[in-house]
Amino acid sequence: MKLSCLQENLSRGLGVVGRAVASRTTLPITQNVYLATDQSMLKLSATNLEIAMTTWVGAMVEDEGAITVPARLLSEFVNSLPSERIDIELQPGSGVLQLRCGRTEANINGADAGEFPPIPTVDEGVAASVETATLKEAIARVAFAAATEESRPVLTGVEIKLEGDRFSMAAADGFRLAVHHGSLREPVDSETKVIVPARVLNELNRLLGDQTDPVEIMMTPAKGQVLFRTQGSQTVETVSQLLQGTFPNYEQLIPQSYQTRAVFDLPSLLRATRTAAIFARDGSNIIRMETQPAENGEAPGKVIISARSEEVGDNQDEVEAESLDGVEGKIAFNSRYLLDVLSVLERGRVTIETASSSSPGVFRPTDSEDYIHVVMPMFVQW
Amino acid sequence: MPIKVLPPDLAIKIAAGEVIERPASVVKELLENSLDAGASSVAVEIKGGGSGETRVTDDGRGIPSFEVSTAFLRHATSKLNASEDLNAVATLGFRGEALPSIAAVSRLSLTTRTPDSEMGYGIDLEWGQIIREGSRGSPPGTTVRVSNLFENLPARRKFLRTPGTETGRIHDLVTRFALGFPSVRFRLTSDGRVLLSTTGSGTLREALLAVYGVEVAEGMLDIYGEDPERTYQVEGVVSPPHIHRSNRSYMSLFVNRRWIQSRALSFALEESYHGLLPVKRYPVAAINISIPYADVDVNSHPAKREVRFHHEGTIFSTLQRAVRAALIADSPVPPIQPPPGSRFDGSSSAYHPSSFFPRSAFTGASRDYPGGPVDAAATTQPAPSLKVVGQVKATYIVAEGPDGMYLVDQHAAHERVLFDRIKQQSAPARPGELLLEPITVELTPGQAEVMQEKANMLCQYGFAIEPFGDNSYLLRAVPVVMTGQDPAQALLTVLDLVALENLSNTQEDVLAASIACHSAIRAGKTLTNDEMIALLDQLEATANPHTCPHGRPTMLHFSAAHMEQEFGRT
Repeated sequence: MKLSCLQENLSRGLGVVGRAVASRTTLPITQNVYLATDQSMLKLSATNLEIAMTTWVGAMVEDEGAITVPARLLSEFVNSLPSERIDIELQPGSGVLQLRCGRTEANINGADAGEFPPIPTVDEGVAASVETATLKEAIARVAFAAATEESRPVLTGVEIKLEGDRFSMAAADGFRLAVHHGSLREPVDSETKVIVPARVLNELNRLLGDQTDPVEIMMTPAKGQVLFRTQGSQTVETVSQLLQGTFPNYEQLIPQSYQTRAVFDLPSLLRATRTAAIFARDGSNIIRMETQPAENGEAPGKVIISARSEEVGDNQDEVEAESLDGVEGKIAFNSRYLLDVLSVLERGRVTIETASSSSPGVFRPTDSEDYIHVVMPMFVQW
Repeated sequence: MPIKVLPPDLAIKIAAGEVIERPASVVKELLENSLDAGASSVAVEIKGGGSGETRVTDDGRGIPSFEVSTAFLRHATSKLNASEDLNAVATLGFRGEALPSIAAVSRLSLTTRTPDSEMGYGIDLEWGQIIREGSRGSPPGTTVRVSNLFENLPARRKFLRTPGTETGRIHDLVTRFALGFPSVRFRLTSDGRVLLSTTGSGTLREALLAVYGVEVAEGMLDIYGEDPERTYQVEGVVSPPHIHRSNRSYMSLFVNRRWIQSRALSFALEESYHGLLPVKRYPVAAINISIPYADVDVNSHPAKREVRFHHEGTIFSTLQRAVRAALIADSPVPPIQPPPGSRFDGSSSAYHPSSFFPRSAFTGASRDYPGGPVDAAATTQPAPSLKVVGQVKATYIVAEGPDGMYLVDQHAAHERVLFDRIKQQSAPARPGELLLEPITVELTPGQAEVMQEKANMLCQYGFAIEPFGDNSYLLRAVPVVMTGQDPAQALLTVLDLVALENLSNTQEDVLAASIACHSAIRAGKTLTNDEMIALLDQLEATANPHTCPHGRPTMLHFSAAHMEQEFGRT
């Protein structure tokens, strides 16, 4: 193997695939990065066996070849080099990768490329294409609601469904449910459902950064794999194992009716919730919400948000509703769940629907039907 | 109903119930027959915990073909002749009940050949009725295959435990035989997996090696003793004081090689270790007592588990003297035990931390486990403010305090923090987190009992549970501290933990402690520096930071002065 490439390209490529390098592992070779010539490119791959990432770096290839070397060592070395041309050479049979950049020279002992776990290829299946911004919003609004403990593996994933020219993502951890709908760039032929680990989607979200090119998705439920291909300044392929199992039938968990429906200015409600969370922290994270319709038709009504802790003290806040219909109601939520949903909605207005103090609360952005978030209340003494 | 004599098939079923209680009884009876037949190698194969199939193969004397069908008549035995023989039983079996009893409640197939006959003989029975018999090819010895056990006694079959439990009982039983008969080669396989395999070399130590592993086998001390008239001999091995176990099941006592259970002899053995073992720890032992057959009555119980001695006091003291002598010969000064209550309980390794750190170096409010939750007011000493240094074995936090080094058990510490938090929340109603979808939980009868007894209290702690028919329940909510876990598993664990504690203990602390214990971070979890700092801060704020709710210490202290002394700086 003999090739040359630019330091900044190699450094960026190693940075990308470095996310998939195993940190603690029983299979030491997964701490390596795989380097191989691929036509006139240098192909870089890494995997921790759950997720595999591959990217390509422009290069002048003289001789073909492949090797794996410790990812962290190579990455740190390349980052320390000046922004110049790097010559890379592997003497056949030596197992030592030689790098030269200006007057700097290094030899890194590698391991045979044949020992590297095969990087899964996804070349057939259902292909779809999504705008990066759409995908990023969907991941941000859904992935946090997935479970973090592993006792029910499907709940650590996000269900992605493709149907016609729409997609939906859903996650639930047993106490809350987030569902987001978005548009595909082109319709898909067949309806497809898969469960992708939430961790992988969060990693993908970070990778997408602020790039604008659409993301291609390729699903092969039969092989249990999904591939995300992002174009941007360089092509990156992320392949993940799918989670096997049946995702809960969440449609039936979304309440169809309500007793009280209130619309709030999100920043005001978020501020009041954050304040209450400070006091809830030392209790059991309980935030109480008391919705009160206006008495004589002047203002629409308000919600009283309060928290108290036996030891620390208590606080209370009032937020005026922009509109409120229905009866007065009391409901308590875990401050963490409340803050999570209000934080991802961020701006604009939020509609909250409740039925009783023991039925789920439904949160959605007022101006869109795309997102729905269901949070189970806590049962507390009032 | 008029009084009448029961038909024979019903009578034998009733009688069989006394002898054959569970699959392990089948194995016991067949093993005894094999050993009485002078076998030098016995293989026991079981499937499905013995209720699927049990096969016992030996290389003993075999049964002459003309006697085979007689063996299945009640009270038919080759081991006794006249009633005087009953006064001095030399064989393990003698009642003539085993084979007909097993045959009455199973499908049984027996193949046998005596060494001097050319052809073997086989017989098949179903529920006690002979369905076929005749000559069969067979190696010397006897093979008995029992299947469909208790299928004609549904009531008995219902009371069988899980295959795992039944396998455990059989394993325990074969283990005892292996220790009682070191010169016989035993092999136990369950569903094709070898559970036990002894060499049959005749040395007890090799049998111990197969049963308890190399550490125990190597460490054991030989004992021998006899009474002044030399009528009784006590022989076997006992563990040195540094090898001990948490229950009595590692003490095996044999009388004339028959495994027996005797409270008096167990007590005699434990007494010999008086002052040498930590509280509630028991020795490992395998001891055979040889007694003239006339001095012991084994006919007091159909399964022959309990025996009566004519001179119990003499046997008692002979045993104690023999054990004491061996212990004293081994070590005039017993090795220093780690202080009970310290987390260094692994013992048996050469490294005894206590020999480096005298007891005074340990703080920690309560050294002996009181066994139950400690009253929060018991200790009022505040926690020192600690600076995190690092983590050891992903289990202990190393911290620097005002006077030296502290080791904090992360699980115990977190347990204390959660316990205090749960207790702080105002009873009667602590908040619960409702589940998006209720979960159906199947409870064992034991768990269901705890559940009914503690229903109100579980509810007060944040569980919401509704009956859902039989032993099924719908779980609708879990305590807030448990939201990070599998809700069904959380409930089951709490029920089990509460069941382990004294059920009659109505203190709600038991429940709080169980919830705290299950929710606390585990040993083996790597913590970040911030997490460790937060945990120590929270621990400091608790009312009783030095012990966990179960009474174990949360921290150990190694004083600066002591470290200096150990390093020879003073």
